Amino acid sequence: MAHLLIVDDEKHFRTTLIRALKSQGYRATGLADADSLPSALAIHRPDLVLLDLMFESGASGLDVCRGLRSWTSIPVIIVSVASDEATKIKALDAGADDYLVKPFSIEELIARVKAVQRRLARTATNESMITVGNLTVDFNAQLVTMAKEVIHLTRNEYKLLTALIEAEGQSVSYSTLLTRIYGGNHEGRGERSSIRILVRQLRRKLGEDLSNPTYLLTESGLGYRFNMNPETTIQAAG
Amino acid sequence: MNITRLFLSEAPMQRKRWIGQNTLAIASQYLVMCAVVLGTTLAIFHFRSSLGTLNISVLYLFIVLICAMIANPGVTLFCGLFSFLCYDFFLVPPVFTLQVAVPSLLLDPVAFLVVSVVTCIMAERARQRAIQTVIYREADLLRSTLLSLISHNLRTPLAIIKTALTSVLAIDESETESRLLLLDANEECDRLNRLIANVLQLSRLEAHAVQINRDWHSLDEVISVVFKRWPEAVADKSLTAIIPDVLPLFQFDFDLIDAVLTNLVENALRHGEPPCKLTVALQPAEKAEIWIRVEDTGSGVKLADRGRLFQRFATTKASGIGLGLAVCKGLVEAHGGRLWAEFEPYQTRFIVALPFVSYFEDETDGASADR
Repeated sequence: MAHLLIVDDEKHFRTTLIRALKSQGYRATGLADADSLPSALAIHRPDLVLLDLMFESGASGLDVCRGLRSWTSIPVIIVSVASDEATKIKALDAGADDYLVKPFSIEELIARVKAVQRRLARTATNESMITVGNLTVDFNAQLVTMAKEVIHLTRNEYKLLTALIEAEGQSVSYSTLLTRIYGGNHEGRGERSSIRILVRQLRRKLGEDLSNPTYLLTESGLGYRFNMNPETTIQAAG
Repeated sequence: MNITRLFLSEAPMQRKRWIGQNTLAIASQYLVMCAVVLGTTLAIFHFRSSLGTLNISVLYLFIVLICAMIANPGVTLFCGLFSFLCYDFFLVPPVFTLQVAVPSLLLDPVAFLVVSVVTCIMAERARQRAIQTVIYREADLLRSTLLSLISHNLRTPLAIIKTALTSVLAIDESETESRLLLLDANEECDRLNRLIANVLQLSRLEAHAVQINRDWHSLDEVISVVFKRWPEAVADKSLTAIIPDVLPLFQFDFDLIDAVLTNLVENALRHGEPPCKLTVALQPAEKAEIWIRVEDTGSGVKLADRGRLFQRFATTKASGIGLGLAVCKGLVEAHGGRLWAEFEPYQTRFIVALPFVSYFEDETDGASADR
């Protein structure tokens, strides 16, 4: 099972989270001090880092994440009480793989951890076809079927769908989607609305209930996420 | 919290030091002022024969005005009075008495007095304003400190409880009473988290510090995010939404409308009788507004409670402090929209009306978006 390194200066949170992860079959190590993260990575060799954003010492999780990205590609999930859009975007821009707002349920955390692991495993194997629930995507034939019925997607809708599926349930930011779909460097908020329109068109074509979508989930402030386990719904906190 | 420590420990000390320095400064101001006025008077008295009929009283006016510019208001007032007395005593005949031979000679010294009183009042007003600004600034600092304290220090223990509860729930899949109790606790954990969010929003509203980040969003996405908070209610159809097929993107703040709808839905689910059927219907009532109706089929709201429904701390139940609706109203209005309630027997309907500017006129064919 994966080994997680929890970087959070709140001692009780660390110990509870370690206990909770161990009860789910994960290995977990705690680290109070963000500055000693590089040496902790060398010693413990974790598969994934759970990083807080605000430290009592004044250290910023964003800076730590940025520093980390300059020399390692180890997956980082930010875990913070901050829930505003600006912070989430900054975290993804700093190189974080995903973002989870405290308080969260252990299922939510494990779903994110699994998504990151799946993505890493997939880039190695490079499958040509994927089936999730009733939805099947054939990457070679560029064919999308829902319950054996072919769905006709526009080029951009297909790009959006594959970008989300390839992330394997991990949140995909607006900027990543914009680059994937339109190419080039797409910054600015005006462009995001085109993604939102595409998402709604795609949801309609997939026959989604707009108020309770099964496959394409909105991650407020972050972007979108593809639900790899449509049978089980994960309850979001507050 | 570094800010708290800074604020609580250092500020009073600074204030005390400031007062200490101030007393000394004012005392020296009085002394300097007295010396200047007395010196001027004696100089004029000494040279009065050579000055002739020249009106030298205007010198005092300068002293009073300079005093008003640089010194304490009390000093200015005293300066006016002292100048008046000196002038009267030394320069108005009969000299060395406070009596006046010709009353019109008093016109000049009375002018010093009036100028000093007026400048004193003006300075005092300015000082009050300055003090008020300082107090507001301190209150703002305290408020923002409190806000970050609330969000960080209350949510961290809540995060620990939530982690512990959900991991026990994930292991134990039985349907025993103890599991149901844990589910209750988990639900209340989420509710407490929403309450903290409401307290934060309300303090932001009161400080007029709510930031509206408008962007082109689609309302169904907000609703899907809100609905994810009550998966059971969505599954058993006690929480449903009717969303029109043609619904263009329009400009609003995703997080704020999320907070508003979450509060309204929670309110309907908590206060409605089970099964509580709830409908969110979006209808562009006029061209310029989009309406979101949140209806429940509960026992309705008592006539006496209807008027104060949106007031802070008003609640129709014994429990709860009734922050939700006040926050909703504040947020919707900060957003340039309207929120009101409609009552029928066994039905309460909240209507959120938001200003509506469409993104694309012909968005449904997708041609404009899918370049």
